[in-house]
Amino acid sequence: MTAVDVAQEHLLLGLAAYGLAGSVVETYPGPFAPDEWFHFVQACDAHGLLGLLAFAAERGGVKLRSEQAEELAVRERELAGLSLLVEQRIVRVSGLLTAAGVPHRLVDGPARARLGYRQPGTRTYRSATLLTDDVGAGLVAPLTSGVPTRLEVQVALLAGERTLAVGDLADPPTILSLADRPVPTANVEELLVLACLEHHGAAAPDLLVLRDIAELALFPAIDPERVRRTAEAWGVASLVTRALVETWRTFELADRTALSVWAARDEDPAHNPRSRRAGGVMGRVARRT
Amino acid sequence: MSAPPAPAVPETTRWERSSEVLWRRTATGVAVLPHDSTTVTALEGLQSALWLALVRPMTVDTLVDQLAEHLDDDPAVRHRVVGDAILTLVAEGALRESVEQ
Repeated sequence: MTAVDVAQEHLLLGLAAYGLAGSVVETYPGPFAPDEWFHFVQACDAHGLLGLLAFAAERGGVKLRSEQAEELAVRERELAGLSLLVEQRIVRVSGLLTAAGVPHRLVDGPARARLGYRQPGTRTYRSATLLTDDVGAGLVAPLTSGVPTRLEVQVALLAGERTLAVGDLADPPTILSLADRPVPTANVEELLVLACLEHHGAAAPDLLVLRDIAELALFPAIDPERVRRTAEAWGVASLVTRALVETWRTFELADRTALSVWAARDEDPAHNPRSRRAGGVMGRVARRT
Repeated sequence: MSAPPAPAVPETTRWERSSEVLWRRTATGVAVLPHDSTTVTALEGLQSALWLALVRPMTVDTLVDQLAEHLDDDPAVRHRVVGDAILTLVAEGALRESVEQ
């Protein structure tokens, strides 16, 4: 992976911050020359930001030529459809696991979007992850081995120096209703910690994951104390605070919340000698094609 | 030229979203996918507004009132247009007659 050019990175960062409560990062309002548009829309697609771009354009936050708006509408409809197909796969696999009495949790994709985002429609996904045990993984393997996968079934998630199993997540689970079917899901505090772990595990900062972290961290009903307890129980508190600090810096979030105060305090060398100052993402966003 | 006939949408029937439909907002409307289908339908304009209005079961008369800003002034045309939209969404598996009468 290499860094994208700084000009485009600024465009992507501005778009990733679009509509984010408390962010002072400005979204480039357009217009785009044809060649600029070509590269920008490709980059947005690669970074999972097309949904945000479509909403920004529809609300007048980004001005596009008519042919650009038409192209974007087509692309967004395709991604919305793909996101629904991911959910359809989740409903089927989760239903099978539930019927068999096998514990499982949805840990990303629609769980983050529908439980954490103020406007879930802006967040699209091409796949999702279901955490279960060995019995569950074996049971649903025939349903999830096709291409495209759309749903990854895992028996462990990497969490810093250790791994998490489905039994490490809260029980009872949060229930996400998809097509009137109950899907056991990580709770919103666990989703935030898991998003921070995804950020930590990425080779380069991922703006979409940082946006996920911001949305979840600013979710009005999130319980900061439960986030802290979950992070400590999983042994990843320092990774979570680092991800939160980087999120606040990247999007220049003005709001101070219990989570941001906790993270900033933990990152402060005066309070935590193990802390590592996190920089912004500029110059380090992964190139995706 | 006479007005087109009104659609066969009973006035007393209440309509609701089919419960087994996956759906999400898009920038310009709504995308719906019935649970047993592989065809995603993009709803825009009146169809999107109709879907969003149906947070609870409604008759065609109530829907005509709710969707006034999307409709013609002629009452007969309004009922026909909304009735057509209902039938289209029923055919796509997105709507159904309400089981709560």
